[in-house]
Amino acid sequence: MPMNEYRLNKIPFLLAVCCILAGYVIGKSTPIDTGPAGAPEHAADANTLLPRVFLDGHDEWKSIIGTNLNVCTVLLTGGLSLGFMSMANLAWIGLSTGWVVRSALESGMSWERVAALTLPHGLLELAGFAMMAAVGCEGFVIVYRKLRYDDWSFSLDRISLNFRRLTMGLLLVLAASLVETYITGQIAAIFN
Amino acid sequence: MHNPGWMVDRISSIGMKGSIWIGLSVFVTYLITNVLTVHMMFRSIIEQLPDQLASAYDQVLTIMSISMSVGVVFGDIVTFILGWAFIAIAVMLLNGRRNHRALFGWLSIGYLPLALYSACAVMFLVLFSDAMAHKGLTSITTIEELPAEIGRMQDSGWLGWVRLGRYLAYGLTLAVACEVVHRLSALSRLKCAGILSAYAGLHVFITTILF
Repeated sequence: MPMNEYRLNKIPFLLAVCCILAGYVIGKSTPIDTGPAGAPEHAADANTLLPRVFLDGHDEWKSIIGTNLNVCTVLLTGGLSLGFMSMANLAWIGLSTGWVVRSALESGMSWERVAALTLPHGLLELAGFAMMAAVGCEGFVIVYRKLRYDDWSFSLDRISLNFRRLTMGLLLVLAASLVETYITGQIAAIFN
Repeated sequence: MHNPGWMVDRISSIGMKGSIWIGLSVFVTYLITNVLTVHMMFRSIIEQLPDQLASAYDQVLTIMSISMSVGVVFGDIVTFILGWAFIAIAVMLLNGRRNHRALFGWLSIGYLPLALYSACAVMFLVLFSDAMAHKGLTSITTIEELPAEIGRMQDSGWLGWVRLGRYLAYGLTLAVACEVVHRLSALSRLKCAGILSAYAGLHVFITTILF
């Protein structure tokens, strides 16, 4: 495989991971006021803000997988903006994760408990999202190859690579939703 | 008699690679100036809000400002890429000359009127920041009233002219794009105008549905 092609295959995934990490670092180091100061009165209603906390078992899993598949769709449609939108979305996901971790630690929760609540499903979920965003970057690869080499053609290798990314991404997101529903809570309970 | 100093000759001597690089730089300039315009308008709106609202929603408004700027950039990239693909497919279907790379370069050079407009808008916002003052913004009591008030602000005074200038820049960009497609794809101007108005219509239709 030519070096340039090898780079085109590897860079999207590495870039996706870097975007998540950059977002996480910024979120972790930026204080944010998470209280509803000045928010309308109905915002204090927990039922409006987090309907998921009242769900359990299969219903919770359905809610989680629905949200994750929505995120996957957004990451894939980022291909239309040459993958930039996917990368910005990943950075935003990393940023929100960083804010949540910081907020939990500041509220007095131990870091073991925070890790138990986020890592088991978080690693799988973020890896899945990174795979999806790498597929979203294919838009950039197509335009780059056309402008540089005047070539629209899709090699079988690239199609197979993107199919593998897509399948692996979906499997990881599915596994993450199952872990989040049935395992994360059990692990976190150990650190009570 | 051929005169190499003529502007037309200089433009026609730009090669494929040159057109792509010049086009990309024009497009990126447009994106930067457009983001600056959006950001400066947003900052001006935040400054005019009552202190109580501005301090309560400080972080929310900052995040809204960033997400709006990012959304504008990605929206413009998507519009350009889809437009290029739409025109390339339409030219193929109408048996025009296939010249996709040159089309990419010259269509992005066609963003020059929009880039100039955005640069002028930035200069206007810097030099005449007082013209942005809108009484309605200082008297709102809840954040829910903000979107409607921003709408009223954009239609009033100098900002109404800024909006009109934007439509003019869009019109000029479409006219340049029409000429570019006509020259590069060897299609009649009428067909090119048809292709571009079909894309513009589709774009407006989808934008109206989505937002």
